[in-house]
Amino acid sequence: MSNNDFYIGWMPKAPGSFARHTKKVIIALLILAVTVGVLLATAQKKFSTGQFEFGRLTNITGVYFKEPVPAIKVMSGKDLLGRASYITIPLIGYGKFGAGGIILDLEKEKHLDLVKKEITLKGTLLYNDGKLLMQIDAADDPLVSVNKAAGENILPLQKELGEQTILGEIVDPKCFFGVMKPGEGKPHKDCAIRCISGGIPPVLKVINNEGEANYYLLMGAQGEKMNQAVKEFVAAPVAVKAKVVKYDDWVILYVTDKKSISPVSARQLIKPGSQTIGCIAPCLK
Amino acid sequence: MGVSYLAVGWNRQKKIYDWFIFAFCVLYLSTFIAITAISNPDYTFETALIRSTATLAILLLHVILSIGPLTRINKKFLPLLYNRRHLGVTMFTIALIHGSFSILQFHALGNVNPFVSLFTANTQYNSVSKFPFQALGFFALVIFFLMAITSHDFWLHTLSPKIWKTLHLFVYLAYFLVIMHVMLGVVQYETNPVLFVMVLAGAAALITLHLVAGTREVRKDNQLFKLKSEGFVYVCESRDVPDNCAKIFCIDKERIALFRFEDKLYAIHNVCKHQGGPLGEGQIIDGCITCPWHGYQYLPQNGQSPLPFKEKVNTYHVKVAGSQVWLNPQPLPEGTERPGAAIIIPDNQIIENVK
Amino acid sequence: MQIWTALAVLLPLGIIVAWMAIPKYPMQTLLQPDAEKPLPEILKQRTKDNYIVFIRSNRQRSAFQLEWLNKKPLTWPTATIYKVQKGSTINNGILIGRIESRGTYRFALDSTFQIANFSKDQLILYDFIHQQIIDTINF
Repeated sequence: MSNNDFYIGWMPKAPGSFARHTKKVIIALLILAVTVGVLLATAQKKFSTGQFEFGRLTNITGVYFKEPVPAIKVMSGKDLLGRASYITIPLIGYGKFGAGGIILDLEKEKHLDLVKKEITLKGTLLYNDGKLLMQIDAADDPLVSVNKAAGENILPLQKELGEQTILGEIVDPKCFFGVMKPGEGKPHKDCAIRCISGGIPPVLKVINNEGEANYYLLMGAQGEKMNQAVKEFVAAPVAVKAKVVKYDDWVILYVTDKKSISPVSARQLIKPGSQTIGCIAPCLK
Repeated sequence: MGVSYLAVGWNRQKKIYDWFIFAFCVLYLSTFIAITAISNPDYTFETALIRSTATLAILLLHVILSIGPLTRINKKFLPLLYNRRHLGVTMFTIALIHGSFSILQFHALGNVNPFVSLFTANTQYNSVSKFPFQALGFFALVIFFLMAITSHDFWLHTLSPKIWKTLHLFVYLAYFLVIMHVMLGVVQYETNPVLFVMVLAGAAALITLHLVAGTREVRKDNQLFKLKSEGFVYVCESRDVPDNCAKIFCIDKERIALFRFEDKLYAIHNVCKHQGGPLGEGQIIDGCITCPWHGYQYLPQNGQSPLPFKEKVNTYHVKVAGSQVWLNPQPLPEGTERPGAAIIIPDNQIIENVK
Repeated sequence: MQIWTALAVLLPLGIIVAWMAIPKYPMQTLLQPDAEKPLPEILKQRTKDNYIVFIRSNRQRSAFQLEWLNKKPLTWPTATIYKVQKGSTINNGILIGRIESRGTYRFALDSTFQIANFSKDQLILYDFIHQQIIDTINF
């Protein structure tokens, strides 16, 4: 090796043979950067279609209900027989919190009980796959008006669907339906636990072989919150044994206790068509 | 090698190096984000940013960890090694963006402090599939942070090379933590095997490179020197040592570089005081032994850096008997002056040289 | 060298154990919002990117049914179907039903939905939260 071929970093120029080799390495590394970038970007799971109307406030007028979860019930029109049809929009708070605290503060401030009253709320909508929720933030002065008490005909239509064992994944609906992508699975686990700990009602996401999904709210047997009890089961496959009740346009799973939720490992999966699952669809009829 | 630690002069090579790092990062990030946006109209920028910085940091970490063994296998990779710490600090910065945005996204605006939430949201440390993978990434980031802030030579001298080197060996633990962070995190969610295959391929490539380079050195180190006399060991013939260059010998676990300069032989410890570079792979420039890694210099006759620098390495006794070179592996105190052993040049070679 | 020998064992071990632990999510038959049985004959069909719409009837033409196959997740807050006379506004429309998640929906139609009226009526998919027409379906 001649002196010319010896590389010293603090010299202004590298010897020719080193410079030529380094050029080749640089080109190879740039090609590697593009290749890895393309491969990893295209290999990502499809982002969900969830929408979070960040920065856009919408006024919604409907009847406020505190149970089973804080929600506002809005009339969408009348059907062929003249019956009113409603959409239930669960409410959630700012950040990783439920809406219960904000509503309570508003009630205290206005010296009013908002339950079953027709109110206009201002908030940020988030929605996906047919489910709509609204975020209300104290900073936005969410209570626009309190109109009047609603009549008894607005009370929720309930239909009991019997006790079922349903397999799925527990998610926090705020992230899942719009705020985060992904709002489910292992990468999002900690966030989902944080959101559910903060009072956002847990939801069981259930999918079928075609990739179609249903979303069921999880409650305790007496309608109490299950937020603390479900924390350890979030973002993993679970089996939930519950009393299933259709509550207007949401299905609610009333879970007897924490023992009714159990993790499902890949080996324990019950195949579709087995007795446990097979009964579910007919039960609705 | 500086005695004062003023702002480092960015020479032409350093500038090229830094521009290349910048171009590499911009190219990767723009490719990843653009492809994500094109193939996913519903993408969110936060997620694209978290994922692009994560994957870029891991790609850079693989490049960083492969430079060492590649240089040992082929010296032509030395230009990449020279400013490797720039790559390291860049990798840490990118990983910090990933970590900060992830903590904001997943833990901020909740009912618990985000850093408390990081360790307490998911407490299933006894499960594999549910393991709190974010904690692994956090600890890796702490290691990268300590390495990045101590990357300047000031810390090398302040902490002592031994402690500094030990601290920087933690990069291997950090690499393991990063791989498990990926495997127990996003790989548990993604269905496409590309990411998993790439992680596996990256780990396999790094392990192979390090084992190949390591095995070569072990083979060299295990060379046996049978001829011994009065503490001296016969190592080679004098003609085997090229002018202004060295041969490296490992005798009784002592790595010694035997240099030839102006037809005399000098032996010094092979390990550079700066970052442990192999001095014997360097050359004599302007009368100084010059380390191939970062250009630190030592005088052959006493193993001292020329004034005003203060680095010193051990020296060794050398003697020449006929054409045979004998080395005493007993190190002399660092910086000990001893004369070079003159090479006896055969008459026929002198006549050849005169011709 | 020792470190990499250790990593050569630990890394593949860790990667394989983690790979084996990847959860597989169970499939489940869903609770469909409407389990009405389809009427046997298809009178009309319209195919769109996100859904397929059928008008079904029985042999006697005494009952009519709207079948809506929702293929992709909705990207609107709400999607309700109204029957509206051509030239009229949504305010005069009659609510047929609401579409939510992916799947098949069947809604009973009244007898006014006769073949003779197909050219006079249209279906409107409407987002009443944002008060915008998502799609208009003519038969």
